[in-house]
Amino acid sequence: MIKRVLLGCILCVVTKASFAGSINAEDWGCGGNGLKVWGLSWQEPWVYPDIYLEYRSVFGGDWQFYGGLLEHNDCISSPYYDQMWRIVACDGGFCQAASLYAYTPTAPCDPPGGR
Amino acid sequence: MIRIIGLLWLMLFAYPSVAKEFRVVGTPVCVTNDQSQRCGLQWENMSEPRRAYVIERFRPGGYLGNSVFGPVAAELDSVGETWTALTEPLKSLDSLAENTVDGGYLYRLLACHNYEKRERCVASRVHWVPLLFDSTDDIPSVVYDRSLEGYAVARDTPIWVQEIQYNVYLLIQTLDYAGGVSLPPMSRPLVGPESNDILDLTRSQLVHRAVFGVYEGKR
Repeated sequence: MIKRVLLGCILCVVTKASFAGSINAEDWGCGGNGLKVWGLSWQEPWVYPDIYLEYRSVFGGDWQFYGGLLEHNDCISSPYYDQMWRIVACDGGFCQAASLYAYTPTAPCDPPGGR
Repeated sequence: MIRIIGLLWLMLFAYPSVAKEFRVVGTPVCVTNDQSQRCGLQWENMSEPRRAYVIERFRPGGYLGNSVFGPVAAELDSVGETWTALTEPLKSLDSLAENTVDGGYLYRLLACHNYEKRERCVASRVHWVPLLFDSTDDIPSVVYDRSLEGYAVARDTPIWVQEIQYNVYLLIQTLDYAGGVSLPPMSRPLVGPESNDILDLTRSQLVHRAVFGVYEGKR
């Protein structure tokens, strides 16, 4: 009984623990269409074996996995506009999302004409 | 049994009232000069004159606005009003735009025969007044929601890009706090989120395009 309670508490703590990872949208220059090209970089502690990216439209919808397994503390080019991005860490089938998000808006490279 | 009925009655009638829905007529448009961060709202296509006109700002319960301490402070004010009048009832439609408003909030214009009793009112579409900045130094790096999840502003990007991100994050906060409150449609941007034809837009129009997509997707 005591073991069960202890195990339950440990699982409870793990489930609710905040995953200390972060993601940044980075300016990777200008595309041929005159729009900003985005990159994504992320940082996370090495205690999690597997790192993935998830994205969803900032206009609504569900989270979707992007690509496959990622390197730790790395970066990639971000192919989609108007998406919200986050990293997900998994360990033996147990996954949790980081509590920091980054948005890659559709934005022009050149300064807009006015306020 | 009586206690249960009493409790049910309380749940049904003592719950904080939500915003009353009005028929939607016309659209607010921000008229401002380049020297000012603030915005005067003009009511376009308002075809039904009334005796009283009011500017209302949407501030859902618990949401205190554009503060980095919002999630903490919000706990102290868990039940707030939804739509708050920013002016006394005005007698003419033209005088609305003389009362400028802050960026970073949702607004609507309300016209009634009797504003206090909300008699024969019509409302405009909702309009997000963009929060624009003179310097990127003034834009917070992260916006936290009430679950202490953070939304990062990309620091190495130009000001118009950070403005889009920051305004979208503020709107997400507003809608998160709004919960199930029913909201009217938003004023349509010049270029909607379905198009990437944005190279000729101003900074305000870029924000409008993005927040419109978020708002209509979530409300």
